[in-house]
Amino acid sequence: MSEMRVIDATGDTKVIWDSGNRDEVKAARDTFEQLKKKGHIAYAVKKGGDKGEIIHEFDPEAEKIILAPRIVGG
Amino acid sequence: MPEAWQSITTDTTTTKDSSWTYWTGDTIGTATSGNVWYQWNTGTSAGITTTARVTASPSQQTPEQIEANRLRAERQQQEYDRKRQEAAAADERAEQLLRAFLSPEQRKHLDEMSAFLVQSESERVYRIKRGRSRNIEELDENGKIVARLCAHPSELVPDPDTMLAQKIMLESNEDEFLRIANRTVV
Repeated sequence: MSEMRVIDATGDTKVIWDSGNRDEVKAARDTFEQLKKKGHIAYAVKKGGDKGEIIHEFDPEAEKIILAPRIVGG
Repeated sequence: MPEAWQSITTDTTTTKDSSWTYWTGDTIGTATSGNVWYQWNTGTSAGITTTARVTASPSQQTPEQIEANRLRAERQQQEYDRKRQEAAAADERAEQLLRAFLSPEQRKHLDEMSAFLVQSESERVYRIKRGRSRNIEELDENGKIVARLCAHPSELVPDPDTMLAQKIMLESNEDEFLRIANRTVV
């Protein structure tokens, strides 16, 4: 199972998919692309402090993806 | 029509229809029991006594209005409590997510110092402190602060989420982060 965590006001919203399930993959891809259009930045990450990597396309085989709202200067 | 000056002085030439006489009730600045000046001072002279006070009587409310007000206050309190619980739950979720992506050493620093260190690809070291803005310090090789950075997610999210987003971007796209952030040299 792969998961995507969308950072939002609730803490985060979790989206889970099985790469072998076309419907789940499509739902996850749709969410990913919708949020990318909104300006979110996507990172493929691994737990435990490993560095993340920016991704521009949805990867159904990714272990974990974090989608964060775009960063702005404070 | 009396002059304005007359209206606000105790000039004995002020006539009865001036503002002053309206407030004092006579033409020489003394007060009588039937005028406003007297009621503010409870005396017949201009000296203020210890019993002088102004009281406002509450408007009369029907039992239905009192009950409606009580219910409205109760609903507001419930809404406030609900939002506070949601915010606490969001903070807890965000904290768990952040900790899941920290190394054991970073988690230890977070527990002990409310901050953790991040090393970027350029080998620069940043300290991300708890918070949303102005919470990042750029350190030199001796751990001394050389600059403060301010950049955060465009949406209002719990602080641990902000810190995670800052960490990931500093690690994966430091140049862009530095381009966006407000940087203050210390």
